[in-house]
Amino acid sequence: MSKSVGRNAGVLTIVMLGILIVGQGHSSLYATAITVGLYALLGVPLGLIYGCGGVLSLAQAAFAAIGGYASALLFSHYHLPPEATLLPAIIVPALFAYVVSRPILRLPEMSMALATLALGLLVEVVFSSSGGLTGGYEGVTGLPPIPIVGNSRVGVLLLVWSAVIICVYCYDAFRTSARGRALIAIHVDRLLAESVGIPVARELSLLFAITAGISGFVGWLYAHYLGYIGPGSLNVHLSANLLFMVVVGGRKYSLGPVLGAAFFVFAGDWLPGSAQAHGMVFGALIVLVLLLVPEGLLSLVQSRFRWKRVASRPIPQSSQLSPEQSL
Amino acid sequence: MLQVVEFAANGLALGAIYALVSMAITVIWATSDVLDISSGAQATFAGVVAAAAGMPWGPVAGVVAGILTGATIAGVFQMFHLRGALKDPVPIILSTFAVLIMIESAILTVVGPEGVKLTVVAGVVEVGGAIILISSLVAVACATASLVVVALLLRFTPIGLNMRASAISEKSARLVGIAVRQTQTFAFVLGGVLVGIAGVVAAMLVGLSYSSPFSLTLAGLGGALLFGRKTPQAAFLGGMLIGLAETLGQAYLPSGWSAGTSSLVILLVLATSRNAAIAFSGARP
Repeated sequence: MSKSVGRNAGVLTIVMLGILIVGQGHSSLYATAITVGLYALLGVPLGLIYGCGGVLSLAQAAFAAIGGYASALLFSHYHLPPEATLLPAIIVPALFAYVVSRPILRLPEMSMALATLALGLLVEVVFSSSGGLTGGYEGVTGLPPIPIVGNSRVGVLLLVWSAVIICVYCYDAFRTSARGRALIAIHVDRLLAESVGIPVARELSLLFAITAGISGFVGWLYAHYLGYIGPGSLNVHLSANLLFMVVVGGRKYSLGPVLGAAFFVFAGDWLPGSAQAHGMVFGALIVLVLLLVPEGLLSLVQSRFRWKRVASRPIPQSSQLSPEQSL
Repeated sequence: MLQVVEFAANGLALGAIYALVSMAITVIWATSDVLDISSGAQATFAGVVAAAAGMPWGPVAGVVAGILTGATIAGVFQMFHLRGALKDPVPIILSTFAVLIMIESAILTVVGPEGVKLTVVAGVVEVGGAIILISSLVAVACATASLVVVALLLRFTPIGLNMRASAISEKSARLVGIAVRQTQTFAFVLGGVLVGIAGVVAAMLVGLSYSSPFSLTLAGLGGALLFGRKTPQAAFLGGMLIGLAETLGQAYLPSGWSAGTSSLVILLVLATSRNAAIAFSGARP
């Protein structure tokens, strides 16, 4: 396994500790960091399947909603505590994703995006229209807090960011593993990957289901952190925003979605004018970033470091060159 | 029976709006390989401008607004081209999504959460006992006339032939001396005209608000996909059918379920079509 696997997770651990220290004086930072963490937790798996596997999914928020609703409905109808609903919240969206993945994941990139977008909207319609079961447009309220951490913001922050760190570590470890390389091969040439014995459909379906399961976990966290879930909470606009986060941050980097999530949340907080008008500035900002840095903001950092490394490398003297290099 | 006829008439009128958006999406995609997610937002903007201008100049102002937004998207497309960032289609498509967000926000800021409506023609006609709104007939007539004009333009005019050549093979078109970039810019502007008309018709028929863009885009995409998005005629037919299905769904399905019609159509077509492997893959018609 590459030595660099734990480096990104280490960077995030330092960031988390920094937030914990700085947040002592600015308590609103905790709430912002929790939001960033939840988005990052949805964005990192999306970054993996899109950046490495070319699976462009716009249904991540829908899977999170399925997880959140699974937990909320088990609580409201059967009075199960959050500890007992955690597993169903992960398994139900994962199974759902596995079942629907076969006909969807054979499609080319843009068709896949459209199909997952349509799937996300259908899930939203089902939740908002099944009034008796799901609470309709009003959703489900009065959900109990997350077990152990309860309503403590520091506790929730630690839980969410620990999950992000584990996710980023797994992302890096997976990418450098044989299965990760198989996923990249599938992205580069699906037919060639099949010809060398990679079970393309199974690999993609499995990964799609795992990312849906992680989304379901985020849905569970979201529902019990806020004590509420409704059809508008984790909607298709969030799915689109997640894709923005991944692309703006850098879809080829494990930290890209985290940076993208931070960019989104902080830009929303710092933009001038009313909240209604934010979309205008925000949209323009996204177009500019996509236009100027199509590989994502993190590519700027990487290219700068690469430039520094090249600049600091000593120029070899002609006497030090091998005969081949001299020629 | 009369009720079904009335529902069908309303559905075709709604379908006329979707058909116009579908045609715009198809024309732009076929010529430039860009899936313009902002089409619904452009139509909404045009409709809002038309409603603000009122009669008699509202429809003209709406179409001009559509042309301006189409030209803006064309400008963004050209900038992506200049930076050589068109190899991956995702950033440019996400940019059109960002434009949708910008337009939604602009409408919410300027107009507010309430919708706007343009009154062009009022009254009804009775056809065999069924009561049909005159505005519905106007909507279908506008969409049909637009289809005929676009089909004739593509078939008989030099710019139409250039568009078709660019759609078949951009490289070959460039080799025979066609100014492909200008042709693609024209396609965006033509799309702007179509969504401009769609916006005016929508403002007249159903009214528009800041929340309209996404549903219009989705219905337009569904219409463009339904019959293979190869020609404007196929897109027209697809849009009409989506409108019809949505209206009948509103009439006969439980409340709220008809909102999923476009999504269901998109999902079913993509998941079951034999041609799904080439859908939006870059293989142009």
